[in-house]
Formats: sequence, C-alpha cells, structure tokens
Amino acid sequence: MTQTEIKKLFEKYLDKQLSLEEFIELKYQINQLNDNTIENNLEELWTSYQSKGNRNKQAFECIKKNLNKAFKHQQKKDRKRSIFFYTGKVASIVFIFLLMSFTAYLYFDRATLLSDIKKEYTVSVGKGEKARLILPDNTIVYLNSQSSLTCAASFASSHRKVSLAGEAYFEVQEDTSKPFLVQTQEVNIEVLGTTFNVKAYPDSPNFEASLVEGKIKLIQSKNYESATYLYPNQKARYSYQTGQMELVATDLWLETAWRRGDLVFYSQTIAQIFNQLEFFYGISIATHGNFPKDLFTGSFHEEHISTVLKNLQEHYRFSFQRVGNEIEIKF
Amino acid sequence: MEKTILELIELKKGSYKAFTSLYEQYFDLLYGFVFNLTHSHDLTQDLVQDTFIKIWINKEQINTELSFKSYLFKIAKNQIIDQLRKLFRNPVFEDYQKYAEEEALAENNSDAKIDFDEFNRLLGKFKKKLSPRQCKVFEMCKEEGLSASVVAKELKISEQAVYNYLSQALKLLKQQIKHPYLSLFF
Repeated sequence: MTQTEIKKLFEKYLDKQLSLEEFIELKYQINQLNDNTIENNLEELWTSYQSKGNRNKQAFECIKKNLNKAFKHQQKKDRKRSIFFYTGKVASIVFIFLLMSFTAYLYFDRATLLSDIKKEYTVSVGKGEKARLILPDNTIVYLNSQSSLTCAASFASSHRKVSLAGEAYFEVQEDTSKPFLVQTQEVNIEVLGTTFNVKAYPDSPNFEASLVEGKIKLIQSKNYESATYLYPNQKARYSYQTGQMELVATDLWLETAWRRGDLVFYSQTIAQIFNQLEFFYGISIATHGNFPKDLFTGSFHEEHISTVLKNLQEHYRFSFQRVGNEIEIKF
Repeated sequence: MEKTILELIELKKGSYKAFTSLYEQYFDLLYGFVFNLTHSHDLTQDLVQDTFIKIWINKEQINTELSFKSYLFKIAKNQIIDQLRKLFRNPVFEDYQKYAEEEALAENNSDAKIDFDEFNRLLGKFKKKLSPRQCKVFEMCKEEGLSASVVAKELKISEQAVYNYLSQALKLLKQQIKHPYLSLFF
C-alpha cells in the first residue's frame, strides 16, 4: 500500500466514510506501521481540522473543574506540600505537587535544594480504590487497590526510579537516555518505553509481571547475575520462597481487567467471587448458609457492588442486605 | 494570532488566567479531533484532560514562537497514537464499525448512531440476557478475538456448536441494538 493510499484511508476514517473492508485494511495498516508514520498521517489531518462547534459541555465543564482544583491555587505564591486525591467523572487522578514545585525551588531557594533532593514522595491507595498518576516524564501509572508508589524528588532530573508495593500498570514514556526502573521487594524491573503490569503485594507469596508492549528486563535483587527478559504477552512469576523465576502462560486481558475497571470471573466459585468483590469494592462481606457449588463466568463494569450482586442473584439463590460498610449475604 | 502569542508568553510565566483562556479557545478543536478518532467520550475526555494537565505542568518549556495548535498535537500525539492502536486491536471496536456501517446504510446518515461508549454499555446490558454458554462463547470470540477452533477446544464443544451459540447471541444483539430505548425497559 502506498503512502498516498494509507493517507486516504486515515482521511476517510476521520470523515466516517470508511467501508468495512477499508476499515479492516486500516486496522492491518495501523498494526504494521510505526509510530512515526501514524504520527505524520495524523498531523496532516490535525493541521487541516476545524471544529464543527457542537461542544460536549459536560466534558468541558468537568475537565475545567478538575484543572481548577489541581492548579488554580498555584496562582498565589503558595508552595503547599500536599497530595491531592479526588474522584471526578474521569478516572481518579493524583498529582505529586511536590515534584512540580521542586523545579521552582531550583530557581528560588538553593538552600533547600539539597534536602529536597533526598526527599521521597509516596502515593498510597486505599482498599477498594484506584489511582492514576502522571509522572514528570509523562509516564502514566495506574495503581490498584491497597498499593503504593514512591519516587525520589530527583526523579525527573537524574534517573527515573520508582518503588512499588502492590499492583500497578505502567505506560512508560520512551526515553533512551534514562531507563525507567521499578523497584519492588525482591525483583527490580528495567524498562525502555513500554506497557506492563506488575503485581508485588507484600503479603503475597509471588511477584508477577506481565508485558503488554515493548520489552522489560527483570533482575532479582538477591541475584544480580539473573536477568529475565520479557516480550509482549509474556508473564513472569517469581516465588519469594524458592527464589525461582519462571515464565507462565498469561491472559493479559484478564490480568489487566482491573485497570479498565472491569471485574472478570472465569469459572470461579462463589467464595472466590466474594473475595474479589471485597477487594475490588473495598467492602466486607459476611455470609450465612451453604455455598452453592456452581462455577460462574462473567464480567462486570459497575460502580456499585449492589448492581453486581443483583446480577449474581440471577444465577445463585441468595438475599443480601447492606449494613453500613458491610454486606450480609444469606443463602 | 497576536492574542495567542501574548497568552503563551503569559502562560509560560505562570498565568493561570492565560491557561484558562487557551483551554477555552482550543478545547473544541482537540476534543472534536480526538472524538472523531476514538468514537468514545470517555476516552476523549481522559485524553483532553491529560493533555491540558501536561501543558500546565510543562508550561515553562513552551516555545512561544510555534503555533499553539501544533504544540497541542505535540503534547497529545503519543497518547492519541496509543489509544488508536488499542482501539483498532479491540475486536469489539470492529463489531462497532460493522454496526455503524449497517446503521449508516439503513438510515442514510453517518451521524445518527450511538458512540462506542454507548455501544459497550448496551453490549454489557445485552450480555446479561444471554445464557451462560452463549455469553461465554460471545466473550471469547468477540471480546478476546479468539478463533472458533480455540474456543471449541477451551470449552470442549464442537466448532459447529461455537458457531451456533455465536449466531444465536448475535441475532439477539442485533434486535437489542436496533431498539436501544426499548431494551432499557426489559
């Protein structure tokens, strides 16, 4: 396919003039083309694009509100050291203001410079909550329930290193001059512009990492000679007990479901389901009666646990009642 | 144009007022373009928000000589390309395109259709009406993009059975989506 033909496909796609065959061809092309080519095509379309004027007012106001909440206070000379955490209509976002105000310190206060360099900033997420952070290098990190991410104040300037306890999904910004490092309890990850999921909960017997795109290198801190390379769609599991690292089969769609806000069950017992619900929604579940033995398969994308439970009631016979932050279930 | 250069200079110095003004002037452009690419308000809203956040965080690096329109693209492009790749890899998006094409032909109007968010929501609603088997087959074929032979092996049924379940599910889906308002009452 020539450059002109590809360009035509993109144009037609934007104008909603694409037939199904052309769509499939475009899909194939996008898979094959490198980022630069796609960028060039999009840039041309962007340059000639003019908005039609039917604004999504809700989105406009919502974003404006979030931006104000996050940055408006910076107008005054108030370098507050605080971490904002809030839930808007668009996923939860946490800003590390300290890192941003750090660059201001460079200009204004050399005395505090050294002490700032030593400082570390941690973002923690509670049970049943999730967070999305943007690091100074534009890397995006999604933190799952009960997880925390720490990074040094010098993150942007020297090397890109973070520490993780829990589970996170990383979309690392490519920067060949500064490899991105993720430190966990016993396994460290070296990254160069890539998308992957890491599971390193302190009370879990295993460490797991799954790669979506790019390439990462896993180094065991107890064994510096070790180096495990992961390629897309591969998953590595390290056992803290045996100190063994192995490659295992993976279902990426299933494993990164939490990041999309999806709850997925594959032939699970009702007991396993309740455990996952507790974790996902941060609510305790108390049960009475005998558990049915049927296995359940399904997926949910619901904000409230009651919707999920109502749906499960179509498959299992039980009644439930919400008492404060606890749910009582009777079979 | 003159006004924008002044605003860029102010923004670089840290003026939140200039930032808000630029946001109001360029929101429609960015939102419209990204939405035309993703067909999803959720994704677009996330992306536009992230872009303006990055603009504020990196305001000291703005080159006031370049047009703000080009600068916007420079900041947003990586996320846009990523999202585009993900979207085109998603088997459900291809189904959305099929549905959209049929609707466009039937209604003779390429705008009178639901967006991708709404499609996914209706899909979720509709899946609840399927039998566990139909649902499982549907998800494996349509959401994970697995071939019929792989699904047949996984579920220990014949390939023909897979096709049967799938066509039953798709028939129901077509009925549901054609009357989006009706399905809300079931």
